[in-house]
Formats: sequence, C-alpha cells, structure tokens
Amino acid sequence: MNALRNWAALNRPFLFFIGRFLLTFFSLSAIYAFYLVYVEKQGDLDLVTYWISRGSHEFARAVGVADCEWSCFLDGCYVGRPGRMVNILEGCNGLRLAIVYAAYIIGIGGWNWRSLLQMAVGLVVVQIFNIIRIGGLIALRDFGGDLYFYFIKYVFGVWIYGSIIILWLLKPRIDRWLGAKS
Amino acid sequence: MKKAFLIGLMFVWFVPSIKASDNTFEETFEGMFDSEELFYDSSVAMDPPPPVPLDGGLTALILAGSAAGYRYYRKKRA
Repeated sequence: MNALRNWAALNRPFLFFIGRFLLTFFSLSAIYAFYLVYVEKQGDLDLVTYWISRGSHEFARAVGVADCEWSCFLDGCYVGRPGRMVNILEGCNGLRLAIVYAAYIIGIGGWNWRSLLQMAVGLVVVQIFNIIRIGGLIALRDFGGDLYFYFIKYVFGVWIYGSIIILWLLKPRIDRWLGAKS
Repeated sequence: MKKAFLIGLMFVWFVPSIKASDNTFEETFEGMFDSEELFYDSSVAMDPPPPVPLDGGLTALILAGSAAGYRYYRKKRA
C-alpha cells in the first residue's frame, strides 16, 4: 500500500494527465454521440462521414480512378466505380481516433491556446490521413487483386494509427516551435 | 320484317358477347390478390460493397496514449 502511495506521489503529474486525458476523451465522445443522435432524428447523415467520403472520392479521382461515383444514404456513403465500390460508414470516418488524439493533446498540455491550436490542426491532419487511406482503398479496389485486402488489413491500419502516434511524439517539439518553456 | 330480323340477329350476337366479356373480366383479375412466396436466389444477388472499418483499435490507441504520456512525464522528471 505504501509502495503504491509512493508511486502515486512520485507520478502525480502523470495521474493528472490520465485524468485530463480520459475526461476529455469521454466529454468529446459524448458530444459526438449527442450529435449522432441529433442527425439520426433529423433523418440525416452526419457531416463528418459526408465530408470524409467526399474527400476520398476526390482523392480516388485524383489518383486515376475513372468514372468514380459517390452517393450518400442515411447509413453511409458508397464511393467507387459501379460494382467495385466501398462503403464508408460512420465508424470509418476516423473522428473517434481524432478524439483520442485531441484528448492526449489536452491531457498533456491542458486547456491553453497551444493545445487548442494543436488539437484543431491535428484533427484536420488525422482526417487528411484518413482520406488518403480510404481514397487509396478505393483505388486498390478498382485496381483489383488481393492487394486491397492486404492493405485494408495491415498497411492502412498502421498508416492511420501510426500518424496519430507520430503526432503525439512530435508534440514536445511542436510546443517548442510555439514558444512553450520546456 | 327486315328490321326485326336485324334486331334479332344483333340480340343473338350481342348477348353471348356480353357473357364472354364478363368471363374475360373475371379471368383477367383472377388471383390478383393471391400472395405468392417470392423466389430469392442469394447466389445471384450482388455482394454489398465492403465497409472500410477503422475504430476497432480505439482501446489500443487509448492505452498507447497513456504509455506515451507516461514516457513524456518520466522524461520530464529525469
């Protein structure tokens, strides 16, 4: 018991970080959940899924997927060439991952302008990585073969999670760029 | 006489034709509201487009965030 108390005393900043991290994560998740309930009641598709699918559609066209179609329904969007489309659901839009990213930034830095700036820029960066991921999957599905399944299972998972972890590890450096005292 | 003959001929021709059209009506709409079990061959149906899921590793990412935070504070303490 004493050892635990000593450890807690020694790691007080870390415990405060865990508190802020989880509190921010659950608060932002709750706001997002309320938003999803609201749009469902309105009989609408959430805007994050809409814009991510639109961005993925544009990316797929930019990398050469000819006749790429894009259509949205209440449960998500279909993007790609007819017969080779991918289904972008709410769970694919990457916002929950971006919320974990933002919760970490607030957990480490607290509620100040540097954290809020990094949070806003980071949310956009994570979503850009997600658009590249989904656009790449559309292109691979159009291309055909087993490469699509390999990429969806391994490569793009590492890609999107890796992008978040790299942004986390870059945070002290970004703080220094923004003039924070180390 | 001629007129009566023509009217009689028309009557003889017209009455069966009315009966025939009654039958046609019944035959046309016979079984209209009978329900039939729809035939559905799942092997012919197109596969739905695959989803591109992502959030399966949310818990893992939270744990990774905690580990990164621990590393950050340990470095800061040292």
